Amino acid sequence: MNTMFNTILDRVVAEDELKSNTIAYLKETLQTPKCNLVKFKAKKSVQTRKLLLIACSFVIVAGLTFFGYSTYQTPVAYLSIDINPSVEIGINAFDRVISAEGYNVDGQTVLAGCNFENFEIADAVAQLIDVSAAKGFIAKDGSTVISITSETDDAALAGKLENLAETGVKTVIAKDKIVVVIQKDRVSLATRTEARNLSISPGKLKLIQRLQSIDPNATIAQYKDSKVSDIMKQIKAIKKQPRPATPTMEPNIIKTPEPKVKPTPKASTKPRTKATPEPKDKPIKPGKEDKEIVVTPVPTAEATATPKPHPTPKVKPTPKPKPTPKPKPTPKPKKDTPGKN
Amino acid sequence: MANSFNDKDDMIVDAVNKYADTVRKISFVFLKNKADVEDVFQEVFLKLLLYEGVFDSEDHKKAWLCKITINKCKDLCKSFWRKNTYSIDDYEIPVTDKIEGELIEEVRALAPKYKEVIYLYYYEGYDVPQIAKLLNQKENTTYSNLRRAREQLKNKLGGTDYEHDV
Repeated sequence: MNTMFNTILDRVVAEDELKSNTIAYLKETLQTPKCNLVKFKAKKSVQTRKLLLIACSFVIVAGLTFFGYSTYQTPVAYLSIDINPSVEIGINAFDRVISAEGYNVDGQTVLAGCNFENFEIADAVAQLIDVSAAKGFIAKDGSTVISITSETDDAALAGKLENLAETGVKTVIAKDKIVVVIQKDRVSLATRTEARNLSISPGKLKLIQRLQSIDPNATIAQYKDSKVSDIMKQIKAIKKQPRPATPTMEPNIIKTPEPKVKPTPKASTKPRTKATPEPKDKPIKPGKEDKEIVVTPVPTAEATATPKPHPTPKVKPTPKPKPTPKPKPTPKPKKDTPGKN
Repeated sequence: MANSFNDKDDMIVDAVNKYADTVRKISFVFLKNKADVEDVFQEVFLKLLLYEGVFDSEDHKKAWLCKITINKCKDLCKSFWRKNTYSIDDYEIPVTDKIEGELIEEVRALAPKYKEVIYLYYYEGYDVPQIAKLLNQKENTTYSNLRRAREQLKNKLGGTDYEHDV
């Protein structure tokens, strides 16, 4: 093959036209000022092309990195945690915490020395509650209300955030064996802006607005620095006031035990205490519609003891002794009968 | 001044006449149309005339020229435009029979890395270490490329007519 290959290539010679064209080109080019030659060389330089390519790649990579970073750092929703400390955490599209802000002095106290950036929502909330408990913002008597308010225009995301936050709260509560009431709520981003303008957390604003809906005299300035639990107590107290209308319910409950209980007066007292809490719970339940959940720790012996403080308000409505007079008439006839005899 | 211009012109004519065939043969193996061959001629000779280094010998100069020409041809082959377009003004292939035609077509159809070793080894008569040095390759790479180029030619041309030579 090599001989045949060589023979063929031997026949290949530069055409005269090619030579003359090349010579003409070289003469013309070499007579131009040197700067032109330098330009010519630079234009054709492979190194220059490589540098250009590297520069382009760098710009593209930098652009993509910037885009990714800015996407990661952009909050798509917020979560407001209100106890007395009011804290708001910003959440990005990847469900990670990217910012935390204290809305009041207590909130800033809780956040001092803490960094929640890049935390998962449940972890951040758990740590927030943990720190709040450690700094004495959560009462051990179970009276503390933790308000979780999601701030987004996306209903599905709002639900997800609330559940994740609730999980975080429950984790700490189970660990520390404390009792709290979790109040879940959601607001739009417009409401958040409104709250920020009033220098108040959106969760607290929502609660005050709820209070205002039943008590028009309540003002934001009045409750701005109040604890969530205090506002909740106020709401409950006002809701209880119109309850005098409820007597309609009491007779209903009392009526049911009457026929069986009549023969034994002792027995009639027991069912009353058991039965009375039910009607009194129900009037409070409007709170449940607002997603209020009483969270108790793990059901240990201690745990069963702790919830008792809560039912106390349920027992309060002792006015129910009202039915007690009913049994009285029954003994009277007994006294009368011996008299007759 | 006039003398210097004449000297330069003479140098240009001398260089072109002396090395034009070598450059043409290499460009024949790598390229298929007139425009590309003219581009390579202009760039290679311009580079030769602007070269400021000193050649140890004529062989050194020729080896340098081969290397520059091969690199220029490979650069052109890499070009997307030239890869995807076909010129209608191809040079005629100087073959006398079908076997020669098949052989040169198969050589020209090889990948550039195989063409260069085939040309330098069989036509210019360089040995593998020299080719490796000229192309800035490891000797093993040159051996591999040469062996693969032979195998490809053997497979494509078939039979054993070329085998013993290759």
